[in-house]
Amino acid sequence: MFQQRAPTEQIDRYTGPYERWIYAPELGFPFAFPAIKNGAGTHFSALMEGQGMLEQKPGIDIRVPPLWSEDPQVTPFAIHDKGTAPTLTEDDTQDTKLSKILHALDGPRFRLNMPINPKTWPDTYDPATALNGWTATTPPKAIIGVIDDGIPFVHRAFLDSTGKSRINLCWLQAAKAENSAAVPFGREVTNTEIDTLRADHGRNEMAMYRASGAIDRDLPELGTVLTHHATHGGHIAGIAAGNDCYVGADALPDDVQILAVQLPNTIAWDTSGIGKEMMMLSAMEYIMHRARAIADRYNVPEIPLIVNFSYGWSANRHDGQSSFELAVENLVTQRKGFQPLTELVMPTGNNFANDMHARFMEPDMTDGIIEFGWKIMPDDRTSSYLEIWLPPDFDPAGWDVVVTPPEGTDLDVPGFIPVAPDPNLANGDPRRFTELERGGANIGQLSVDKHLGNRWRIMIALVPTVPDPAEFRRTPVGTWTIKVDMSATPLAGAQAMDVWVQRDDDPTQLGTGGQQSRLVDLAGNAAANPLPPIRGYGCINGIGTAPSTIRVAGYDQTTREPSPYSGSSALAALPGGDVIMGPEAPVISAVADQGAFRPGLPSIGVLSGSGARIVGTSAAAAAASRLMVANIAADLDPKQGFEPLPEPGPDVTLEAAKNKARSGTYRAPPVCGSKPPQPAVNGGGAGV
Amino acid sequence: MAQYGGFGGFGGFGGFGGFGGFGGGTNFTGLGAFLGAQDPGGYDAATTHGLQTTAEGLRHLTEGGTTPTTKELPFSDSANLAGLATWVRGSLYVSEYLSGISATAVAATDDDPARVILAVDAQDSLTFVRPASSLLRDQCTLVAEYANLRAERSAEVTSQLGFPTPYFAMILGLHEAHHSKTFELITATQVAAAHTAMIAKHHLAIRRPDQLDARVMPMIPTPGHGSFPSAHATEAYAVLTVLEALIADWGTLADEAERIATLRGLAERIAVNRTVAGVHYPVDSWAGAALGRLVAQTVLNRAGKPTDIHHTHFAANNVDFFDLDFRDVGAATDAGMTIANPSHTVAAKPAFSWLYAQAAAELQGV
Repeated sequence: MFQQRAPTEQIDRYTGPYERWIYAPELGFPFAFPAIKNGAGTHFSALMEGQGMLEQKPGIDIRVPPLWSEDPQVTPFAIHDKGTAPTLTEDDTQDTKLSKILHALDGPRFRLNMPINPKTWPDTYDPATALNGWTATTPPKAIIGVIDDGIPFVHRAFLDSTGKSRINLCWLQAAKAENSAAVPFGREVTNTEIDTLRADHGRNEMAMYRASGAIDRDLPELGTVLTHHATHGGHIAGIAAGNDCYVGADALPDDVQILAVQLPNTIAWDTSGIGKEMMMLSAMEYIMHRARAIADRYNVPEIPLIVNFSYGWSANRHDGQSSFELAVENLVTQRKGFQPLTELVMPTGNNFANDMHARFMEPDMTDGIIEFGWKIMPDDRTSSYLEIWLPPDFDPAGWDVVVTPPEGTDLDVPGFIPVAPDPNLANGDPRRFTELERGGANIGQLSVDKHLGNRWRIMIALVPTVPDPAEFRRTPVGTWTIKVDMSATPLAGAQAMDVWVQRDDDPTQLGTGGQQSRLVDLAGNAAANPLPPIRGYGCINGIGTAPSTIRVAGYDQTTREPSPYSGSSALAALPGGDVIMGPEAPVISAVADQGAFRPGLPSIGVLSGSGARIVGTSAAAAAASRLMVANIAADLDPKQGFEPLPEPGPDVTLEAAKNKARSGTYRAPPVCGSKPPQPAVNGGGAGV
Repeated sequence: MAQYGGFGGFGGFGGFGGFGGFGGGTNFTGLGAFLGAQDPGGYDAATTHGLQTTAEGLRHLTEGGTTPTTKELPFSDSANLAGLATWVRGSLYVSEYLSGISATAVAATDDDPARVILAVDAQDSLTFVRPASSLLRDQCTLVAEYANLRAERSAEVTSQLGFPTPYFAMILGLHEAHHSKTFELITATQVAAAHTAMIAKHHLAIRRPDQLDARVMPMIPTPGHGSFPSAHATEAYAVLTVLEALIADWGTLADEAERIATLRGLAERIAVNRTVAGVHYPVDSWAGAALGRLVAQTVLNRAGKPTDIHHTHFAANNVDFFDLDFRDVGAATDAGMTIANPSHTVAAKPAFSWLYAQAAAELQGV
């Protein structure tokens, strides 16, 4: 049973429904990912939404990471609660404590993110020491930025033709801190250190990672990911920036230099999207900040920069207006003002065929009601989340939602919520909550909130379907029914209600125990509908819809057809035959699969001389990034060699629109395996 | 009687089965790959019958014959070894080796924990202090951590249940046609190592990680003997150390440094794979590496290559295992391993000396 909080203890007043769910002990906290559940609770990452900078407050140490932007749209920051903040008591739960801290910060609105391990917090954070220990090598003609997990920064693939590291700097966000650092948490590895590690440890790369703190069992968010044969980040960095026979591409020249950020290696653990944005945005700001610092050292203007960020999640607004998207849009467009050759490259995602998205419009209503199913899987050990987004600026007057558990199970009180503010919840976004309870214990949270004050969202969070040893709460398995009654203000014309399910599968190496839920068409006429409500169209990376982002879809090199999982922008067909295309179409299609019997792309493993093959649009994005930075270094147009794809034209047909939604504007040529193996260059470089 | 016994002749190839078992057998037999190697056993019933009817049909051609020879084999001479079945030589290696090995188990006192002192030819060479229960509990956390690597190491773990000779062969390019005595030396070393490890394990009586901690849940059967020291680590480090000496004697590998570095990496990986599998603590690998080094030094001495043996003392601390740390004096000291300065050697023996000389002649010219 959820205990109502006093106004200043309501975490949702400062944040949103995810934070309320994840930090409240009666709700989802016992099932949150380990960094939250087991965290000491003294150091956190966060974002401040709304422009402005934070000021230090009594009892709270605030650190803002290296920022490129002087007036950021969204400000990432880190907090150390010294336990002396006013009004904190021993009775505070995690959510009420955080509420009080956020209240003291006195900002407009926040997103609370991953806790930070105190061991990664340097005693002294001195941003002015940036580039200390960095060595000038080849002046970069272009920089490739890589943001990912598990980055094998001493790998031979990242050496130049003289055997020196092309990775200028690599911020390990979750590594143990030194006493003083130019990053607010974690550790920054310079090219000098990489070259020294390689000189000191011969060929024993594992010893280099241990010596540099990149493998550390004491830090769960860093851990031993680099002891694995392959990592996502290694694979992606290899394709985007590596010269190695396992990639099999034309070598990047020495003047394509690299900046890298290794996110906490457990970044993929939580499936809600909470916890990641600060680390991600900090990474983007950091790469741009350090690129400018390097340019200053060479006394040149801003250097062309391609940032590859092969990451994302499923649910979100998908209109480019989420905090992360607003922030990176602001960053990229501002930098383009100084250096037009500035791009952020992201994948479209891998959920096209997973029934994780639905779009409902006027024809889908029956008596003003839309009803659909949400299938919750057995043996799911993580929370499941579903988001329903109403059209921007739409007023859902008179709308309400009823959530019904699978047949044969009941809630204590029907899961009912009006889509309207709760008058008792002052300040913050307009919002309302209904607890879903069985036997007096919470199993879910049904909420509505007007996100950032401009778009209504209906959201459901459910606890796992297997009981935790300490928590006998569990969600009944089967098809839940969600009934949205909009008869008072029905959708009309091109207005749509979009549904997304959050990713909830089990990434390798992390052992989350998640099972992917999916949407169910209760009307049962999907087969006859060329564009049924539950569709892959619109199932696209939920943080990749900013207008300037280069979205990369995946295609099969053999058939040149879209990879079956490759995410797609939204589509709608109106009764009169008009087709409406979402603005977030992919820009580029790149090879994601070499063929039906060679799925995925080859790239490097963690250790020099090892290879790995990974399937997904992440690798396609990395391939597109590589091609663009190579073109820039060769004084060519970034999309030189890309094949323009047919545009749908003014009288767009559904088929033409589908092609555009899945394949975008350009088709990039193959990268991986496009060149025969090259001999080694000076002990490094291309490798053999 | 129908004459259909001829196919039985294929049974003769069965003798090679002893080598075929390098990567396979999961049961320690005391002779390892020597078990049955070149032992013809008996023929099948049809062949036996056919041989006897043939003998009866041909015996008239020898009617009136005598036993004319006066030649004898040399007495107690290594020259005879080449004519013995492999398994018989295996027996000789085992007896040569074990005749010099002794162990003294010293019970715990108020002041000192229990320990086992291993001696070669009565010279103390290695002391294992029995790991404390608290240390093993701490080590279980590391064992549980290593389970993360099970998915990607499963082929290695399951194919290394027996002696992982193919992995050494891969690195040195060994082939039975060229290197039969090198294989035999590897097997002799593995068998010596396994026996020695069992002696120490028996006295120290350390339970496996999965017997202490429910988190471990190993991916292979819990072995029927104690955990400390790791026999796999013992065997791997014994083979590694013998091969390092052999490679030096070959003197023909242009990339000797790379081969040795790779062999060291392999020995470490074989040891660590047992922690990945969930059947060994990292300190078992430390103990096994030290024991393996002693076994190899003993083998090399028996083979007529005087090799210094320093008395090693190991009282384990809670550390992970890495080959580099094992070789680093500071890291090894931190792990609880100290190596005494005085050294000794032990006497050569004929069978091992013969075997090593044969293997050293199988040089691998690259």
